[in-house]
Amino acid sequence: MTAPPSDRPLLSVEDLAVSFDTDGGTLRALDGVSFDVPAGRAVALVGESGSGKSVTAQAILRILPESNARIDRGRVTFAGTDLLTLPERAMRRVRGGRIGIVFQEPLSSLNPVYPVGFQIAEAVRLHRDVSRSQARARAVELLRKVGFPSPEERLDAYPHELSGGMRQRVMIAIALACDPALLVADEPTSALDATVAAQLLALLDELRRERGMSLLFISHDLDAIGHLCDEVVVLYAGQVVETGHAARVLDAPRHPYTRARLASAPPRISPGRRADRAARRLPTIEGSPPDLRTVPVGCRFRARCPDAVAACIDAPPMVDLGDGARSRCGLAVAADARAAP
Amino acid sequence: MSTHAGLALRRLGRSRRATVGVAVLGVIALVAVFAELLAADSPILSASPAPRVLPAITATSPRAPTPSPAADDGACSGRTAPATPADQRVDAPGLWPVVRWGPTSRSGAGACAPASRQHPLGTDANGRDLAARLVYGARNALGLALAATLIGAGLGVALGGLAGYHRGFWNDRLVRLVETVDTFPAILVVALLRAIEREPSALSLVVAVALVRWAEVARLVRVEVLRASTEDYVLAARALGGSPFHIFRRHILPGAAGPVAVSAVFGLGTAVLLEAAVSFLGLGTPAASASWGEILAEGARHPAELRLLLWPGAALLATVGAAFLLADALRDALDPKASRR
Repeated sequence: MTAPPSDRPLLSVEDLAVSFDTDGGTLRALDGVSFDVPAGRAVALVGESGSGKSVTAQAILRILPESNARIDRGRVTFAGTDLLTLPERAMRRVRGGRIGIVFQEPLSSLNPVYPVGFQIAEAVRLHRDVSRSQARARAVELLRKVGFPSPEERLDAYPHELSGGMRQRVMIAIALACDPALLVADEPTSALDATVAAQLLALLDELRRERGMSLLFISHDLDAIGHLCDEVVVLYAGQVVETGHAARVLDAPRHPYTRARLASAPPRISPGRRADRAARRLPTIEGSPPDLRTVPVGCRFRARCPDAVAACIDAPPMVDLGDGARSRCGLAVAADARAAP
Repeated sequence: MSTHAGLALRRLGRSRRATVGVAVLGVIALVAVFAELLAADSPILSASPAPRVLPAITATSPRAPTPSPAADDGACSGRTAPATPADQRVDAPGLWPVVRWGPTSRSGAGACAPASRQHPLGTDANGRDLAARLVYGARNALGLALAATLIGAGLGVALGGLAGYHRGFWNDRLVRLVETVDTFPAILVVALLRAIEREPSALSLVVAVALVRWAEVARLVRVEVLRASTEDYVLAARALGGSPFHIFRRHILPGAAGPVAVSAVFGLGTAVLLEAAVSFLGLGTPAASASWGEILAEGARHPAELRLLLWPGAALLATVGAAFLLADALRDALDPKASRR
């Protein structure tokens, strides 16, 4: 595997389509998803439940449930290699070795019958030809890295003996065991309380910068994304609806869904503004996302969009708005044209 | 390694059924292993003609065993002592086993001799020492049952794992196969194998019992694979690059170990019974080697000699009962919901 040219992204997902066979018919979970994760950058994947965030992560690693999931088309290029056509054996070396993943639920993602040190050492030994004691030493080192004050003492602890935050730190240690070039974090803080989540995000950010690692951060925590990520990819109903620099997307969204989503997020509470903010009700997005077994024609957000016009019945293409910003909305172009005289 | 196993072992230690089962099985196993020290044609230690230890095992050509024509079975009525004086063994120097007769040598005391100093339990209908037959019968029964159970369990784990992993092809066929095997009486399989082979051997009996026993284990393992496949930690292990075999061994098999152990111990009892039944029908191991079932068959032909029914019956009851007690206790110990006793 040769190093990619610096202008090529580390991970490039192109036109990825994934469907699930369900009792009610074929569910098209992803439909032509494309985005890039540049080397050394952090990219956020945002979207509501069912929009395809986790499916994207699992499709990249090819760990979708074999029984009913299918990758219909697309390409996932990682460091110059198409992962979707890679033989299973070579793919196993990528999983855990070159791409690490942290799941949402640390308690259930750790095997309850093995001590955490053993599980970290196992991750090391899966990819590196090291002795048990070397792997154990590496586990201590990793535990220290992820913020265990006395790692030697916690090595033989079972997952249920640790707090939620500590368990998630163990998961991060496992994901980092073989120094991956890309870390996929699938809602790593959803199961944690706010304080612990903030600590964990700071840790993730620190580790990423320290190692020059790329991060694909799946979340719906907009605050976290603002702090952690360089770029944002917004998913809606299995399609990318908007991409761009994190600050720009969060400040000036170009897609009605992103706009509505941002408006419905609770504002960061600062002491001076607390009173009047609390008094205001948060707006919500009316309706519910479309059933992906029977995808509507045209724009998928049309039914819920406050700005929808007759033209939205035609499937909108991804519109390049310059400076890395893209939006799947015909109105974005019009808005831009109006804004720039 | 796991606290679960430790907990189960501790619970097992407290169970009276388990203690009784282990003790009884242990004694019978010791008898089987050290059969030569309990009953043999030659002394354990003999000084003349040359110093020898356990000639019964070490000597390449021990005293030629008395040919045992099966023809005179049923000579119980005539209890005339034959020419060869039995007392020569009593006077021979050296350290003798408790019973100075091997399982196949014919005693001078004649057929169906009552208990005496020479023959603590008397002789059988062929003039062989009953105690020696019982001791070597234990070796036959336990050895065969153990080998068959282990082979069956190994086969079951392998096939059950394969079926759970390869959902489509293997799964359907295996489930049908397991159902088919379940409907087959074990004794029929033995009879079939016996019909195929020319020389009856112990191996074919082991194979026959294993062929019947594997199905239950395979079913247990398959269910565990299907259950564990939905666990997050199995997905996490896949995401770490673990091979299917690695995941099976590390993350799935430990969960199946308990039920498989229970099934194996139950199977041990069943296999002992089956061996007795097969030998009773005359389909058993070569007639020369001792078997409880074969003694029972003799007893059935000579109703007057109650000893021939009672002793092997008691041995069978003890072995099978102990195995079932232990299996029962093991199941309770492994059941997290079981109440403490």
